[in-house]
Amino acid sequence: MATREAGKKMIMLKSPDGMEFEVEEAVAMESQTIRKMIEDDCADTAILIPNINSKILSRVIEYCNKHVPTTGATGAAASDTVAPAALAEDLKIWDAEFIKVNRATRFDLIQAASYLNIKGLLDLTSQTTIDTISDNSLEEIRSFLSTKNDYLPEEEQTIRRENQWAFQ
Amino acid sequence: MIHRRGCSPAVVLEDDDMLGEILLRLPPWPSSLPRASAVCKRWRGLLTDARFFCRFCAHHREPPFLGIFHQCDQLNFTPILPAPDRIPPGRLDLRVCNFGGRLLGCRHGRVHILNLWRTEILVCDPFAACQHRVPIPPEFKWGYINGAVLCTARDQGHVHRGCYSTPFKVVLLLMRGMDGRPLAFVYSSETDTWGGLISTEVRYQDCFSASNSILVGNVLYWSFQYAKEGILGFDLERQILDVLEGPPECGMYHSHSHQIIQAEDGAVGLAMLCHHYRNIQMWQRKVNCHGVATWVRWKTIEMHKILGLPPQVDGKKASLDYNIHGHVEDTDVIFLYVKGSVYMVQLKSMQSRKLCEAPDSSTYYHSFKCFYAPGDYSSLVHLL
Repeated sequence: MATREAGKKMIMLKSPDGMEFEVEEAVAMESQTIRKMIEDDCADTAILIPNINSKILSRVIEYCNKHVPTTGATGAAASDTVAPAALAEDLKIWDAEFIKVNRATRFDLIQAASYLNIKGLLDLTSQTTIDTISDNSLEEIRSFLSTKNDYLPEEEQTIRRENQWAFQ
Repeated sequence: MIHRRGCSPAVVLEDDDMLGEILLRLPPWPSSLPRASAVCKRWRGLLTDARFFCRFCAHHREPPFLGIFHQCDQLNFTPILPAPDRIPPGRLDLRVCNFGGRLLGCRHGRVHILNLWRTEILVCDPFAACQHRVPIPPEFKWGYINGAVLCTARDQGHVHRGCYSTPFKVVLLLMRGMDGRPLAFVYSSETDTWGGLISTEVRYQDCFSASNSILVGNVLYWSFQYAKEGILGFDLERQILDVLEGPPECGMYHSHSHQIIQAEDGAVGLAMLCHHYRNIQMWQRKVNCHGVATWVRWKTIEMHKILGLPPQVDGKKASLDYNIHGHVEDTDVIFLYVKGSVYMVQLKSMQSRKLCEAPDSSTYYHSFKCFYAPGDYSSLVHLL
């Protein structure tokens, strides 16, 4: 067991802007995309992560580092057992701090979480976006998400009339 | 080093998959999807897509509790959520249900009604305004009837959300005076047939009550009129109808003073309203590793400690003023009739709030839980 603990396998992740990040394989495998590459033996000495710049990739690695299941005394991953409530609470507080970023960074993180298939990060970033807009008016939602209203006025009226109660 | 500028929301939101991921997290409340679908045409296209709706339901898992169905003469729906999630009764097409039949219950987004002539039962989806009419066997012409409906979709990850076109079962109970033995018949929409008659092994003097059924695990339970008779359980898997002994000391609790509930750890429980002591005694039925069941007193809730109820009535009149009129499955919520009004009481937090006036002190209240989809439901009927 001791050798297994000591001999942690490391892999290199490269961003398209030339930065390299050495991370534990277990941390990188929080991404289902990278996990599949490793399991299919498609991973070379370094894995190029397209479309995710070094600033965002370093944040993603920070997230995965925090969320990777810790190895217990028996060598079994902690994810095999129920995480203690205190650990879950600690992660929740950490996540809340982690996601205090500007809008552009948050959308970069959504894109990265989606490409790398990291469910927890996609949950966190998408849920935070929804929480930001869910109490806003339609105009505010469109403005925040840079979405154009392409309804004709009468079309929008029809949609509102369909479920008038939902717009009260 | 090349520094790319942060991506604008547009880059992410132009991708249907990523937009879908974000919109999945809209709150499960009924106003969420109709409001968001008014943002732009592309959002509406995505939000009214049946596949998105399936994912939305699966993501949230537990459908919101929208309101209660109850019946005096007509079938009525009382919404319980505040605006903008308060679906007006007019939005539900109750014409499909309202033709003088008797409401038997609601479950998994369906309303279950016995017609006036006892020749068929209706299983209605009040949002989609569609109904299944199921002729019932001639044995039901006489005797007392109760029943239950439930979704029987078995696919992994299926969430009961208003299971529009998924298969369902109807369990009808019959008690005929001369026989003294409860009978059950099961209808399966998959085969469109009724199964054989299932009976308890021994005779019972008492008749089951008009209360709603409670599904705990794989067993449907109904009350008898008096708690001392025990409770009637129908095991859906083993197709066995049985009468389970009630807790000790349950005396003459009549049908409106006891309610089957789901207790802790998935056990079946019983809440009994004791007018004399003005409390609700909660029992749970524990089964040991040898299959031997015992009723264990779980807790006692003093009525005066429930927040939000009107002041208590003294004297003999008290028994007329307090009654239990239903339960919200999978929750700790019961409906309490108090002095002409119905209150929703959360037994853990001891909070209550008034739902509506109740002109009739014998009406049962059936909770209705469902996710709400904007637009036309007809596409869902084929895809879910």
